[in-house]
Amino acid sequence: MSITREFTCFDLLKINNVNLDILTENFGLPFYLQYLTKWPEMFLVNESITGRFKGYIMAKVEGNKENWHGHVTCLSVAPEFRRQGVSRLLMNEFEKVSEIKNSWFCDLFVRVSNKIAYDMYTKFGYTVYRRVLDYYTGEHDEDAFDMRKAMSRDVAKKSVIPLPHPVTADELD
Amino acid sequence: MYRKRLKNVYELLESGNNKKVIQEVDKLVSSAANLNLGNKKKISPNEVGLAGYDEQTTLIIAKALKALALVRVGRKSDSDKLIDELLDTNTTDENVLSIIMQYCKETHQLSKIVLFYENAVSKFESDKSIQQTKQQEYEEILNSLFNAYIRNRDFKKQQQLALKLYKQTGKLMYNYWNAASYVLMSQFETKPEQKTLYLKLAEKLLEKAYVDQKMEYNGEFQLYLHILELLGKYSHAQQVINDFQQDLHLPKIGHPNFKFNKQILYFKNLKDLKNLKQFCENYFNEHKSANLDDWTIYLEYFEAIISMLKDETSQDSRLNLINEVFEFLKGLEKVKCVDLNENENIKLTGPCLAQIELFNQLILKHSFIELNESFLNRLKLLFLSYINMCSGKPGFYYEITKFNDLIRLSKLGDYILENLKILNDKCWPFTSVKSIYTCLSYWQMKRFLGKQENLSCQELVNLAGQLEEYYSSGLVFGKDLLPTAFQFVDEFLIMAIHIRYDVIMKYPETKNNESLLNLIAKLKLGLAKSPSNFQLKLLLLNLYTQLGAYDSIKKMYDSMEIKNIQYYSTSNLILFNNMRLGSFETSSNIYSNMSNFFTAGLFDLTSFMVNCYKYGTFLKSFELNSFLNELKKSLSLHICLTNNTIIQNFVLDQVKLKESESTELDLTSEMTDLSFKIDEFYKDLTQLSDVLSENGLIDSVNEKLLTDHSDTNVLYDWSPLNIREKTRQNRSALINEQIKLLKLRLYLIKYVHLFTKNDLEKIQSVKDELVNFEFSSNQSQEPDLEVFNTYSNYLNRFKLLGLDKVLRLFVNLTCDLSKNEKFLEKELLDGENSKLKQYKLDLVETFQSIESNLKIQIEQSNEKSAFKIENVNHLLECLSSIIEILSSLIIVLIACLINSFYRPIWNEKCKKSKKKKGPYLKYTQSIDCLYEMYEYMNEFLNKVLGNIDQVKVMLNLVEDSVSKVNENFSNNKTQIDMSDVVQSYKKSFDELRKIYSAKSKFLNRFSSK
Repeated sequence: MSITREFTCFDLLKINNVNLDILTENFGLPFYLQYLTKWPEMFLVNESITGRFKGYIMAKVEGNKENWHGHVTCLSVAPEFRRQGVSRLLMNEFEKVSEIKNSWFCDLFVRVSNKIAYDMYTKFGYTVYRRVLDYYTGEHDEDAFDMRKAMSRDVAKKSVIPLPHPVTADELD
Repeated sequence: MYRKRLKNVYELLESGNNKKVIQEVDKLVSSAANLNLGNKKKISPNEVGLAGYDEQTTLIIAKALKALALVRVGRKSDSDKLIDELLDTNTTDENVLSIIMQYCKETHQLSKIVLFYENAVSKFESDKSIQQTKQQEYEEILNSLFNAYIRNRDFKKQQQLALKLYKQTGKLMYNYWNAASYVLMSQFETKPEQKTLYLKLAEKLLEKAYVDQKMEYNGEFQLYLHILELLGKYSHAQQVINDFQQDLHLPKIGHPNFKFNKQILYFKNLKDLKNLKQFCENYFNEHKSANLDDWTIYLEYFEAIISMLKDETSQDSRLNLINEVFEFLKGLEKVKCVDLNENENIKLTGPCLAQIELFNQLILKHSFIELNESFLNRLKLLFLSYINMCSGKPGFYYEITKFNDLIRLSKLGDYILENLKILNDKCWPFTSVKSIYTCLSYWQMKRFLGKQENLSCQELVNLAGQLEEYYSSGLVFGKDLLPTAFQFVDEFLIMAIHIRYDVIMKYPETKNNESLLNLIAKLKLGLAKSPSNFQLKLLLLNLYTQLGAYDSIKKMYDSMEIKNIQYYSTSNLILFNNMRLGSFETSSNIYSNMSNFFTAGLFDLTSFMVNCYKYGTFLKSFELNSFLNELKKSLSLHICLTNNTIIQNFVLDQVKLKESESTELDLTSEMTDLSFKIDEFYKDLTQLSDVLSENGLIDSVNEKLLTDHSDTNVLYDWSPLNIREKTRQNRSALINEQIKLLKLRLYLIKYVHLFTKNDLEKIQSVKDELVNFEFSSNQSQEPDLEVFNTYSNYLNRFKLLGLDKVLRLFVNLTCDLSKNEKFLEKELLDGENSKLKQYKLDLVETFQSIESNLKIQIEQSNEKSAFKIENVNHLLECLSSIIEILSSLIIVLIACLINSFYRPIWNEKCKKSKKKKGPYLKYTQSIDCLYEMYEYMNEFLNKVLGNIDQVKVMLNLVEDSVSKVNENFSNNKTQIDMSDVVQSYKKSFDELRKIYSAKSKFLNRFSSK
């Protein structure tokens, strides 16, 4: 049981039980504001009935023609609420909005080392479309899997046919 | 001919070579001047400037770029001058204007952007021919002016301009801008009738678009519906939403549930209970997992039911309805969800918890039914069902505690615990992660229901041991976890720490110098197994705070990579601690990062309000506006900027000064510079604050507006409600203390500012505030484990030491002297009984008492038998408070001496007077007095400095305690290092020593001795 609703600016003051997690990125204020003002219906928070944040998803729609798609920028669940389907719920909501917006597919990036996330997205129906070399930069650069799931508009499921070769970050559309 | 150079300037600016930019632009401007003077050679327009630009515009671009470079090298007054010059050019060029906008954004002068665009618009409008030929450019300029108004939140002008744009272009978009501007105007308005008027005007604007079926985007519908809702016109709103064509409008913007949620809202407000009930039931009957677990709709549903029950006249019909609803919810328990696969074993808790909530509302909230045997049994079954379903999952605690009141009323606490215990007993020894969570749920609830409160000291110690055993045994299930994941059993360790802390607080006789260090050691061991667990880090941070080990606090804070927006909700962990623990220079960096964020963050917000118009997400602009108002009350923001000013300009300035051979002339320019910096501080804070009054102070009315946004929910807490109430009180006392400290610091800044500016006419109000400042806090604080409850006794320290007296005497003295001749004349007459003499005597006496007090404290702490580790914290607070007050006083003293308010009487005639009497005598008397103060202060500083050197013995005793703890834990496979506590203390004392020493050297330079 939980509450899923659009994220508001005021929620930015209450996200620490999610954001203090080491793998959750703390973006600059403009980044959050861009999503809040441009795609408010794709920035969703899930909270417990006692008001504690369980997790949130920050996503957008972008691209041209057959590349028009929903993209997950950030999905994070607080440690004390993991393993109870919060990600599934938020991903479902995201996909619903992406469908309404006539997306061909939905996609997301995941670290190749993040097996838990990879398995989870596989369970949600996402497959690896391509590997992106050195997508994550930092102390140790790391490749990303660009994972995709076709939406109902892509009847032939063309958007998810995997690329045979990895690409570099510069080659991303 | 400029093209190449200008291109070069752009590149230099981009690469950050600002000095070179300035030189290049200067060259370019001077060559242009030479050209204009003598050279008659005609240069083709293509060669003069950038492509498509004439010479004049090219020069303006160059100058605008130079202004950007100037401000980036810290020459803000020069760059401002240059920008003001450009204002007179009335430029309409978008390229120039965008550079200027960049400049104004960087320097936070949003109102200047408006002036530039207003000038550009006037220029367009003064020449009708241009207006017609460059219609598109004109519209763009008007658009930019509109955005500039948004950035300044000048909603009235924004509305007028939107109207103008609509009239001139006929584009419907501007009509929406106009309506949204009216809504923002109403947000700011306090008079109810005016508020309504603005909303009605907005409604009228949109009504036509709606009737003409010109609304295309969901954002437009949202705006129209929002206005109707604000006006309470739900009936009309319902009609609008019924016309909303989901397929046509939703893809543009909007959530799939948009129409449904609005319908629910309107049924509720129109008291259409039948439809409200039906719609909710239909929603659940869709058999989608998300719907069945959607708490919001259950609450709407119950609201309909409760209202229907209120309308029912007979008890029977009420019971019928109640039974019907329970039956419906019960039926949902067995529903097979259409969106779940058969192999997915997900049990939805929604229907079960909804029934508990319905009991909650019927019995507790609205007293429709009494808790009879039958209801109690049903409730028991529901709780049992929920326990069986969820106690093995994380998050159980955060759902069941929602019904705390009902559990207490129905006395089902023991029943819940019994059933949890049955499961718990089956789980030990742990066989799976699920068994760990089941066990954890039991112990969390046990703590929450107060079952650990009445345990004896030994029972508590045993319990902590038992939990630690659970912790150790369960680690094996997390052996393959990545270092980024938490161990499944970490919460057992955290609870054990809480219980051991309870022992220390409840049974003080058990406390010794190693008590808190032992807890730290246990947490450190836990952190070694679970290096990313921020809950462990937060607890550690709290314990370090209680010990006063600032460097360790900061390391913990840094390790959580806290930044950006998190500063609003977590920066107090640092801001409440650093100054009181002697960390001035070492906290400069973090202050600088935070200040940059706070100042830039609020400007970002208005920029994004502009986006809302662009994307049609008007409601977000209203939200951003409210959010901005909220952030302007932020206690953290005020503390950060104010403390930063005190640290940088008052405490550390002499530290920097000592590095150069300062002369009196340097001092004069330092004072001017300081005055300028404080001006800038006021400028920043006034722009960012809704709390500050015109004179830069916070009065008692505005004080209530200051809001602490600390995210106090972040830490795991399973305490019973009475303990939480105590925690809340501790926090309230702490916040009051911090607000008082903020006010004191703002008074000190004002006091220093008026003296450095020699603007003593306004001194009276600050003098009154400082002289009457109440240093002691009315509420007492107790240390607890809530991480945002920094235990601080800093403000009390001022009074305990006698610093309040020093401040009072000093302020009175300097203010009296500022009365010039009148005061001095009276002084001469009073002779032996003069006020000056009394001031001197009192100050000397107070300084002596502070110094001897400090000496006794240190001597006592240096004795092994009397040593208490918390004394180190106290001592750091004492030394910090002394240097904080003295730093301000030293500046005022210097300002008095070099800026002499009595200088008017120090005239030529006086200088030549051989008899050295009359005005000269008055002058020398006051200057002598100031020099004496100077000497007293110097002497006092030196004595305190000597005392700081005595703390070495105390630190050795801390090392002894640390060694004992290290020995206690030496059997562990993982080694722990506790030396950071000692290192932290050393760092703080070293820093304080450095500052005291620098102050003393500074005073020595101009000392007469």
